Amino acid sequence: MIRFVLACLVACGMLGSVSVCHYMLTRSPVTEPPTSIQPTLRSESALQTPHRTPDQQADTTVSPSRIQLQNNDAARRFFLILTSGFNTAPDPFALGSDGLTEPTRLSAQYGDKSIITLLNDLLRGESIRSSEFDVADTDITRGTLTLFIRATPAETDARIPCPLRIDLIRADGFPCDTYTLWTPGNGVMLTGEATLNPVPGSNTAALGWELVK
Amino acid sequence: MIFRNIYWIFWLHLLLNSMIPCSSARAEPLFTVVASTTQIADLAREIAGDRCRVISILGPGINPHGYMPVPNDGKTVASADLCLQNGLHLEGKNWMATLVRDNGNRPIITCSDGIIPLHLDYDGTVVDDPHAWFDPRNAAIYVNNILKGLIVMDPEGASQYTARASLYLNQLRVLDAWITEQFHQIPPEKRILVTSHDAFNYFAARFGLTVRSPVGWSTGAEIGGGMTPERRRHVVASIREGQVPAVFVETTVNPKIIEQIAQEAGVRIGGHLYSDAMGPAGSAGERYIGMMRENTLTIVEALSR
Repeated sequence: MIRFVLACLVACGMLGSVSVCHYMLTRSPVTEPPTSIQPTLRSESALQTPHRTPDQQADTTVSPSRIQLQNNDAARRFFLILTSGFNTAPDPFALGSDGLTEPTRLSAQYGDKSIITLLNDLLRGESIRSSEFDVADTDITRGTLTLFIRATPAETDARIPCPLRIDLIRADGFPCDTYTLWTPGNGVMLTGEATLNPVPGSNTAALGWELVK
Repeated sequence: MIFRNIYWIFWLHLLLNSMIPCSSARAEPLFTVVASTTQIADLAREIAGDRCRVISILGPGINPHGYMPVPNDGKTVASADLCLQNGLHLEGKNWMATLVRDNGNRPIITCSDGIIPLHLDYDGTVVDDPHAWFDPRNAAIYVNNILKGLIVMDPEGASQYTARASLYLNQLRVLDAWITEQFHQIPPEKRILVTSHDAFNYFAARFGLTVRSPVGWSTGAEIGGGMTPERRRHVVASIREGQVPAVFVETTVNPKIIEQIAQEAGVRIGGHLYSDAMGPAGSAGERYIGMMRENTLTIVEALSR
């Protein structure tokens, strides 16, 4: 009888611990009330873009006249000019490379928006212009716009690092910024981020163009 | 006696209770996918993740050309939501398609659809080479075909399948570039691959090797034939002329012939290569990428000496 009572006590204790474990494993996560977010204003000088020289970074300061431009709808529309330093080829490792659908040679993406999807070959030195796209107000205020670029070099160019130049132009013709990505040169395709400043004239020296006033 | 029974019932109850959280922690697979070969099963697992149970009809080291299905294979296929085969007559006498037809006519995907096959000529008979997966670009086509099949089978899992396929295709791209880089270590005149059957034509075409094989298209007698004295003389002569440093044995083929040829030609055995089937569980060759990596390292090490 004593043995039975002891067994019951031990069993109850273990059942309790198992139940606690079970509860801990299966309970839904507790959602904490959201903390209020205080809007903070950052100075433009705090924005550092690693690929620019200090002089170019100084150019990222937004002048009042440019702020006025940003309020205009036209100031939010841009297009890209991509100039390839290599021959492109179909990507045999793309999704859809089943021989039945045409793999992409070059693509540019802004957030979840596809800016360019090139299905034809681009030859070395050739440029391609994208369709126009809207840039988020926050990116214009912040002075940085990040694009995700993919390009597949042809086998002949895949073993040496080759450049891909990306020019960001505002829809009304103002050149804004330029960025150069390089292929890895080890046979692997180019995938990378291009960080550009959507403020017109912020990097005209690099563009090699004069700002139209 | 009653107390003793109650005592044991308590302990049994405890044991069962403690098992409940463990068994519910991982969801059961929702679908069953049955693949004919280990390579295809591995590619399917990479894309399907835990949503599907992937079963391979062939085990590691089993030759698909001459395989004879057993009754249990029929039950396996009958339980499938989707079946996958290589095609191009890798499955000798189309045994996978026959199994599917005779066991519930389950949906079947031919993974090699869309590739441009290499051709083999044996005594005037031109056949498509079925070993297409040895070119990583073709493996990418397999992946896309499997992805399409999985999405049709389970549209709700499409985003997961696509994300996994995208990651795996990137891995194949890196593998392809890495293999190319490895073979650049071998002088071009030494890039001669002698194996026991014609499994490596796609591999050789992709990475700049010349293949010499003493046995015909298939390890069975269905198509191609096999060893003939004329072919054997040709292979031995080419090994001697080409000053080939090593010949290789395939895991799914009896090594006897290749060992005899190596002895006759005065060259050493360079190592074992995974060919028609991948390696056993726990080996480096149990996954597609591991199999390709190990084959490359074996070949490069043997030929660059």
